Amino acid sequence: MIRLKNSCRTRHKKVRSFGLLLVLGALLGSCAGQRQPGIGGDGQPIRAFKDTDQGTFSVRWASIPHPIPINEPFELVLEVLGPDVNPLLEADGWMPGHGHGMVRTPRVTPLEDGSMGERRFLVKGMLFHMEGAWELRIAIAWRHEQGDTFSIQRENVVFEVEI
Amino acid sequence: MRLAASLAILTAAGGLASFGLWPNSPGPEWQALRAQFSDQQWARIIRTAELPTPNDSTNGVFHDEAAFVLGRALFYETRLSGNGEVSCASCHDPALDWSDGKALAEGLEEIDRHTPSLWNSALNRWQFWDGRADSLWSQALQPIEHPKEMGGSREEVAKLVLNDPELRALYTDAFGSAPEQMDEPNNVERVFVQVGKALAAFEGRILTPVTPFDQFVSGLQTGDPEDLAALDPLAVEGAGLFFGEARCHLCHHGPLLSDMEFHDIELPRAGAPEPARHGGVAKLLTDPFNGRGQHSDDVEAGRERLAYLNRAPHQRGEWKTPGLRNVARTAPYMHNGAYASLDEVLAHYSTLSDAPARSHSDTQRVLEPGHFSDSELQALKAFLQALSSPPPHPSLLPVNPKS
Repeated sequence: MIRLKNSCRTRHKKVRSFGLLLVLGALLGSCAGQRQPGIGGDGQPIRAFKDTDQGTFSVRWASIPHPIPINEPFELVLEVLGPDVNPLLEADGWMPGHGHGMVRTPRVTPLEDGSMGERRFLVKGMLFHMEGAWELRIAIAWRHEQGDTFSIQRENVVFEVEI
Repeated sequence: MRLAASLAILTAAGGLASFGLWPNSPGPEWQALRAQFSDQQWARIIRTAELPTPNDSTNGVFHDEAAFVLGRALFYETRLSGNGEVSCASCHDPALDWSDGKALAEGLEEIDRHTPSLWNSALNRWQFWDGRADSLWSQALQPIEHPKEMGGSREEVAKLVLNDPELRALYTDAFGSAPEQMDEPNNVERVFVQVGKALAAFEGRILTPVTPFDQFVSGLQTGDPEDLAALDPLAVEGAGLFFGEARCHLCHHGPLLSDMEFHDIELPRAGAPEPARHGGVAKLLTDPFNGRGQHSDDVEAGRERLAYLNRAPHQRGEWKTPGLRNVARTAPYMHNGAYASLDEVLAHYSTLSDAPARSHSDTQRVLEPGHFSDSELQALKAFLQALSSPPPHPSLLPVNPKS
């Protein structure tokens, strides 16, 4: 995955939905030097970063819309702090009390980096189809090189979400 | 927390009254009901209010009046079938709440699925029990060509529509023109698809009128004592159970009282679970008439519908959660017609005594025996009966019913 380095003007061309544009503008801050990374827009609480299980990355998130609707599609904006390793992200949902997950497989695409160097990602295709306690599960994978060899590293972070 | 939320609601109610949006302060009936439900039950009940307006951008004539008229004629048209005796209405009879009253559907032959009611089918996320269609128009095409249902063919359907003067005129009204030549495959397929879209324009209007429960929910929002009295105390108790400790709302929520997705509810079965949603996803993704195909009027929307579908082993044995509006009038129940009455359905959920040994779905723990008392069973049944609406609007009935 190649991190996007486009200008704000270019980024705006990539955002098709006007509603999404508005929310992203409020949520993430934008070219005008507003709050970066901007979690807390759209009435959302400012969520703290949470470390992945091995502590390599710190992640936080915001939903579009907020709050997460029951049984309606929604999107996530993820912010990731950590080493410069071009991470690949996966997002998923799980109901620990029910023993099942989502009925969809979301897709993650990179957004422009934030002003503090945090990587940002857009998750599309989320759907929490039942009320109750969900886990928002984020997996981060990256290529770790050692001399002439490399391995794929993977770490996870889980957020508890009640809808 | 609960007290704070209750106070907030009461304060909001007072605010509405002071601004004239609520003509009177909430009366004792409303106060009693507010105290009867927890905040969570209250919110779940309010979320059932107001059916959304159906829409389908992959069908360019979904809201078109001329397409509706053509669709109505086609819905009751037995000549769409191979033997000229079976129409859509043969199984989806408006006099039987758009179903057939049988455990298993019978077209040309009996098939292994119970006929689902068409009430509110346009609001489904997926069509068929296994969700193998993503629109009403693509759904409507499959029974026509199914050898056990209607046993027709797209070629014969195109011939009928283009050669019958009345149907041809209706088709021209709906789609502007009708092909003169039928010998080209593209023309046959195009007419066949338009037949599906016209049928969907008709079926899209099969929406449940206001039920006693809707009136009750309106009363909860306005304080109108007459609306609040639409449910008798037993049904109110049933609503409390349904949206509370009985946990029916986990799958049956929102205006349709359905999550519109798929679950294994541990119905009795012989042998291994059927492919169900697992097979439905595979069929949907390869259906030439799905929303992202060449016949879609909004390929982008169709792609979005299908973009995030997943297919996993646990989907075997998972069937679509049906909506519950008019459920008391659409017996038998379940995808295979396993239960003849609401009593049998509730008994299943109460005991799970007829559930098969767990296999693939070991990890799922959604369903647990409700252990309902007799009075709770009666209350739940009374609530389900309160979801019954008036009969279909006359405009949905055949214009010239054949004797």
